[in-house]
Amino acid sequence: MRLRGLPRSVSAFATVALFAACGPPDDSADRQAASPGAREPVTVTVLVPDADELVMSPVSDTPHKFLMFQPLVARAADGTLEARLARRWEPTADYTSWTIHLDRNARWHDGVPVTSGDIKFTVELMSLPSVGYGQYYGVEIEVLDDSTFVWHANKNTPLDDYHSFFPRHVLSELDPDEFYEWEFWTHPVGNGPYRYVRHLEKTLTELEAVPDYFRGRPAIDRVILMYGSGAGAVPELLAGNADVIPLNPIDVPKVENDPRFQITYKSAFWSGWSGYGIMWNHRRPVFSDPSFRRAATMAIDRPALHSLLHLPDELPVFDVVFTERQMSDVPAHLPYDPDAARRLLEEAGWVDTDGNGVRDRDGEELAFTAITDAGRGDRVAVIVQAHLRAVGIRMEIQTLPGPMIVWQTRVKPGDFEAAIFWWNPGVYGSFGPESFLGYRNEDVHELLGVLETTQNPAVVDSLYRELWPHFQADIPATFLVPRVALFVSDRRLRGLSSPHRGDPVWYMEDLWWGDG
Amino acid sequence: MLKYIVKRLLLSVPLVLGIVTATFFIARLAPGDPMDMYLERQRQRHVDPEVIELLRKRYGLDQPIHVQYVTWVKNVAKGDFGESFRHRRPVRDLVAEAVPYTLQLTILALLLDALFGIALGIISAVKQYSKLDKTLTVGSLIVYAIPGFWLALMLIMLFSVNLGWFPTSQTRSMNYEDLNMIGKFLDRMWHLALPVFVLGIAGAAATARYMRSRLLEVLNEEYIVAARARGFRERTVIIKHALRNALIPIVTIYGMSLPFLLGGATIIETIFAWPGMGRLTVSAVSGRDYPIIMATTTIAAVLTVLGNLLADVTYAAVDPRVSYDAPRKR
Amino acid sequence: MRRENAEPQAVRRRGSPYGLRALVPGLGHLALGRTGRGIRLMLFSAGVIFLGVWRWDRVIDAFSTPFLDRWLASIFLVLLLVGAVWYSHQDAGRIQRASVEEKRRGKSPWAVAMRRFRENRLAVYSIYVILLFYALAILAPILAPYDPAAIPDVMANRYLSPSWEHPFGTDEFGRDLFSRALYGARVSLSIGLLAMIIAKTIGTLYGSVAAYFGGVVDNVLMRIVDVWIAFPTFYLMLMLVGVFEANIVVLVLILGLTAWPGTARFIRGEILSLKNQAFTESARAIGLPAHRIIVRHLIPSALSPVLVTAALAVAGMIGAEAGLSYLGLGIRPPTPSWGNMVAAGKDNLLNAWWVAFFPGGLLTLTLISFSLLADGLRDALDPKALMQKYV
Repeated sequence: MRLRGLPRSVSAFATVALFAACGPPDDSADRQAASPGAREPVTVTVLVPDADELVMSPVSDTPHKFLMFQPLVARAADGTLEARLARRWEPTADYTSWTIHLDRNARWHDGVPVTSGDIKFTVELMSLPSVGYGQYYGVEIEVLDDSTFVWHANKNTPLDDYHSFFPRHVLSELDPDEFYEWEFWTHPVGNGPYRYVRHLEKTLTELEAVPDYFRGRPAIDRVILMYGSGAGAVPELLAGNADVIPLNPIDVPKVENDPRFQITYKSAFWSGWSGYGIMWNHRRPVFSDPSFRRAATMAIDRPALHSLLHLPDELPVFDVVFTERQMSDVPAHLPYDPDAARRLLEEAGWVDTDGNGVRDRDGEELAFTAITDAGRGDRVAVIVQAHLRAVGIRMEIQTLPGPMIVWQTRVKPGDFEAAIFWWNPGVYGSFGPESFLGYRNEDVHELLGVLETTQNPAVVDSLYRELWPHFQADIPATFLVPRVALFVSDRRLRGLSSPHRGDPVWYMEDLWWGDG
Repeated sequence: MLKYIVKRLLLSVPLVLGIVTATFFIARLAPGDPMDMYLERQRQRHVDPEVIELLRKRYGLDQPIHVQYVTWVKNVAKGDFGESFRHRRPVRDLVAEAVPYTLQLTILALLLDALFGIALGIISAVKQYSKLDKTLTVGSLIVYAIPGFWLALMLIMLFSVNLGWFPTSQTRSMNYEDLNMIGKFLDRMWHLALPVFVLGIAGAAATARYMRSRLLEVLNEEYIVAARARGFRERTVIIKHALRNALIPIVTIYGMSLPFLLGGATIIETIFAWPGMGRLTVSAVSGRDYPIIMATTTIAAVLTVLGNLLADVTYAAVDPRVSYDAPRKR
Repeated sequence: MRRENAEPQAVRRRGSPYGLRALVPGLGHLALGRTGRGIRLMLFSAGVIFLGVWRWDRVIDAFSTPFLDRWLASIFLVLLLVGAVWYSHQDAGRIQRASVEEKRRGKSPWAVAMRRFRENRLAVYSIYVILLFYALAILAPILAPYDPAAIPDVMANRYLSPSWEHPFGTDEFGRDLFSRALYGARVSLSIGLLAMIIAKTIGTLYGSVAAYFGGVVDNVLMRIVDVWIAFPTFYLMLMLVGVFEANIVVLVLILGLTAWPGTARFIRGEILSLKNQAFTESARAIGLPAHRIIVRHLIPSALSPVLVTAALAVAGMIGAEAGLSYLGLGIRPPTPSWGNMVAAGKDNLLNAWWVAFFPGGLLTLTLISFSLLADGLRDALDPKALMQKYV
């Protein structure tokens, strides 16, 4: 927490003098905060890196939007849904429609109740061509009464847990052609735990707790979103300017032994697997052989990969996970066993005949090019390259700017040999009959076909359990590192062990500040 | 003179059109679909093909390329660069927000450049062949050659990370609004110090070298020799006679630095997370946000044309020997 | 050699360029009393021989592996030694004939320029630095203590500060940064040189064609140059690397193709002023075809200023490549280039300063050397100065 009164930037030299004189800010304010009665307001500063630097962007889903706007439900790290704007929800048997009961206490920040009409208004507004949002395609809202509505979709669908809704009474009179210029986006009226106070261009947005927030007044009174760069995040934390920053794993060594801070990681699981993996293009004869894929997988020391990338040791290593729940119930994975990998390759006829360290067969070298994305993927790839080389597989690395470009320009059109990146086209798209990998397994395709027709958690879970053995035998893709949200915060920020996933801004209302 | 300016302006029109055209076609050469890049934001979710078609229509990408081209030229003429794929906001607004930040940086850098460059250049020239002159000449060559991004990183490492004297990012402090006028100004300067220094020092080095050679040239001219012969003090000769003429080409150099004002700080802005034109462009390039890339490139190019024009015009204005009414040779 | 007989007997005996003296570089110079140059030549050859012996296994290996770069490095090493012997032999002979040479010196403007250049010590040192760096880059496969991509036991080796085993320290994967810097030099230096050659070649040809034909051709060609030149180079590069997937070839092309118009405009101006001079007229009068006039006469005349700008251009190209790679838009890891090595280091400023410091330092040294070289060349080739002295 930053002491507000400190004139930190009167001038460069004055600041140096102050720092020398004061040392680290003392904790008296926080002790006062802990004692009831004379409670000083608690402010938490969150560094938001490389954001649009706006109060909010009407169409992009920046996490900090969740401070001001609640979704219908929130999804915990294990996949269970928690009430937010919605109090109860029931799907139809085929999961194409959800009947949703809003929390009757939910209020806009100006005191007006949140109603079904607001939801319908938002969905219709965002579907307008002049808005061009595109996320509500095939969605219709049927209003039953002020607090009850039905969410109709054109196919079975999970309950929406990421959209924000906007107040009809504020916006309905405005011209949708000027949607992007509405003053609302700079002075939003939300329905979440925090409301807008001020915005300092390209610098910060200040929010304060809503006293009569329907889920109870948050313990943290003030949140400052500080706009910065990812690279500058750690210095800002160390300088005491920010209390919470997202952490690039590479920066872990800089803060892990500092008693002032705590590192937290949360699953960043979306539907389907998520994380870095080697996607093999099965259309290539070598990769279509499961024994090659098993050999390559066993050649990579995946548990070590975590520590190399400064990720927590507790992270599970997995060959396949489909749902959040499975993250805590991971089936056994192929072990790290380079000798077994070498045996498998030799059985398949891959021997290093010319002594250059790369196996070959019928004059063809066991070599391929893996495409990957810059920044994260290439770091994983560098280690994979070394591990594969130890068993006689040569992997060249070609780095493209980002995961999206890897996907759109190379992987989706099938123009790749192998790809190391994180991308989630869904289980069906990845391994089903139209698999972008070219994966062929009739049993799997059939099970996935059934899976596409339902959202019933029990059915889904049992189907996935049937799929596990297939995937473990086939290894259609080699999963390397699960994706996690990693961040560092001041040690006094409490409540981070909550079951929520992702960034603290998603569940700031559950956090508090305390000593000891 | 006026005729000359008008003529040059008219000649710039086809030039600008050429730039606008080239920008458009280079961007359209890109492999892949521009719409893919919009989809980056939706990477976690399934997007229906109908939605993509809708968006395609929204951005006019369903039109044949020549129609798109004509629309692009028409819109640019109106100052409309379309809408950013990533931010979903008019590019014009994004640029308008970024420009003041870049200007703060580059104008200060130019000031630093001019102050130090001209002063050091004069010292060098007056003390020609002295130890000081040699040190300054070689020193400026070396300073000019240091890559800015490396210098910036080293300065950040020393002054921001290790000593904590200067901030590493952000344009102002969080308590900015509580400060008084002087405090606000100092706060801004504090955040600007490192990037301005890195940007300005290289320019100052170049200016110093240029100033030195110009002044030496002028000092060898006959009228200076005559002035000296008439017994004027050396200081008077230099300040009253030589300097004025030596400054003329320097002025035109600054005329030509117009594009630098908006586009000269690309890497430095990125390093210091300074929300100006450069960082806007770089992030657009890595995200393939074509409307922004096309807009910033066009703006920078047009400024180059205007900069050259301005340089020529100021040159004509300050140097009576240059005449532009005579037919141009070649 | 016949002229030698005219030399005083004593000198010939002392400096005879035959036998052992011819085979050991520098020995002849020592005998002739040119101690400085002799010692330098000897040290140089000793260094080359030491390198060959020290890395004997790699030098030999290179001829049996399919890697072209290793093979080239070994050949280059041998050439360096042969070159030293040959040069020493030639130079010793030349020094012996020095009294005769003396009379011929100073006649050609190039010799004058050469002498003027030699007097500029900084420029000469910068040439040494540049040549050293290029040699190191070519010799990287023989010199590099480690494989630049090899990842040893990461946990034990990462972020080691500079030491005898790792002169530049190690990075986050435990890779040896000295080896990576050597291989990075290959990428950075060759991109700079190749892009410069492309830019200067295209620019020179384009400018000469425009100038020679004049009229409509000139007008059209120059209007294209106007548009091209109006693009701020770095923005154009940014746009192009954004559009095309950057690899080394693409980057060389982009850098080369964005930088030629300046040369074109300059060459055109130079040639226009030469065009009407007497020798062009006479060449045309005796019926030489246009292209021969351009290639044989006009371009060489305009070349010496191009030489100066070429040195600056190499520096500019290397700097631009480093800048783009720094932004993550140029050469991408794991291929090392000095720019992307500095970029990798920016994440480690706090705990491992050496990751960004050394590659950036080498880059800086290279750029400084090139600008000092250009400065020396400008002073040496300055036509005005030449005119004053010799016409």
